[in-house]
Amino acid sequence: MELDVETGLGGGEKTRFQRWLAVLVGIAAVAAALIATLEADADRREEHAFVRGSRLSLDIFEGIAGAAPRTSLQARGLEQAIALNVEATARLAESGGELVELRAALAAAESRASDRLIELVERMTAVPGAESGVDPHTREILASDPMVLTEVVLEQNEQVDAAERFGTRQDRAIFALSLVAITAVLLGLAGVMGEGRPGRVALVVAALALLAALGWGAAALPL
Amino acid sequence: MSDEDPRETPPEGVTPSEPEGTDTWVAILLAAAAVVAAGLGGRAALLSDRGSDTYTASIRQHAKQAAATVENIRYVYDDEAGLVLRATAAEVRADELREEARGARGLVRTALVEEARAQEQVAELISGASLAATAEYRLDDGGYDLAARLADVAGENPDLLAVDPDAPEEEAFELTGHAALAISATVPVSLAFMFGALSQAFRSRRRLFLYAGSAFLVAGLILGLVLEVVA
Repeated sequence: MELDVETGLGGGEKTRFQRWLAVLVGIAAVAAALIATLEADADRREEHAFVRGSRLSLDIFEGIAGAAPRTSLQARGLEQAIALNVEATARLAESGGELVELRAALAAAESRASDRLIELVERMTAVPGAESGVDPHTREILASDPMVLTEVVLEQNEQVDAAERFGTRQDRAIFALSLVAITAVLLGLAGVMGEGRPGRVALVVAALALLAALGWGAAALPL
Repeated sequence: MSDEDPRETPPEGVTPSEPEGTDTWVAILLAAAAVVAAGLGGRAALLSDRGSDTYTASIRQHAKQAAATVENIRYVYDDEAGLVLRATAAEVRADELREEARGARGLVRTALVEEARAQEQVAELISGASLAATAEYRLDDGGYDLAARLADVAGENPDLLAVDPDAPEEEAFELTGHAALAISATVPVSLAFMFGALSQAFRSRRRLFLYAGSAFLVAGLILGLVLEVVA
């Protein structure tokens, strides 16, 4: 008795069962390649969106933490200058007494010092320009604007949403690939069982699994 | 096999089978398709892995850069600038008190000069304790150059200044793109496999399917090689 596995080589013309087996094997192979391509694309986009989201989170942290010291210093400097001016006004308000002339002189000096200090604080706490020697990245962080950061937060949220979307597509593609794998196993089983009833059942179930795989693969398409 | 075995009786209307010698070519086609697909898949896995590693490096570098930048800014504008501010205020007050003393006389003048001297001493004391409120950073018309100080502090770690997290991110995006393309190159190879399987089942059109399968296999192989050169 000659050994002839249905999907194997050799033998004469093939039966309908064997032809269906071969067609399904071919379609399963192509489906696997197509779905794997979809899976790879979804995986790539998910990873990129995830990395963008993570890096934007760092941008937000950097913008908030990096811009605060400069503005805080500016506030402290102006506070100091205003306090000096208040002190000068208070001296003038103390009318009468032996030291009236001295108080007036001190008040005048402190008032002018207050004005000069405001100018200096503003200059010292200004965002450094390109000529300052500060690297561009640090300059960018020092100039961070809370309003711009709000836009960054929105973009970051969009990237996280995109990562989730692509993740769902990838999950569907992986499920479709699993169904293709089941199809391959069932086709192998049908080939071994031959044309009897069990073999035909395995073939039909394999065809259904392949159809389901194609459906899930279609669900993984970017729509 | 028995005489009733349908496999041994060609169905009606079917042209005679191709010679058995073509079986070898079918086997070669199927085996070659499997090998090429496995090679492309393996290459894609390697590229994808490298891409993931590079993405991770990008995030790590970004975190490193962010931490260094924030720390530099905090050190200069929080730690050092407090003393710089006090030194600047004392110097400005001393200047204005001396200016006021020029127009004063007697005890008032003496008191103003003494107060100015006290403010100068405060400024000098701070200059001795601070690395930022020194002559090196003093501005011509008062105050200190905090930006120059920040540039110097950042310059103490040139490696951190050279960090560019965008570059690895772009590289990773390209690597994973090549990985996805390598996977897509398995599509023509899978078509080669499909035609190989069909040539085994439809023996009357075996040659046609064999040619088509071979063409797709060569296309997949060329695509894979092109990707390898480009990547």
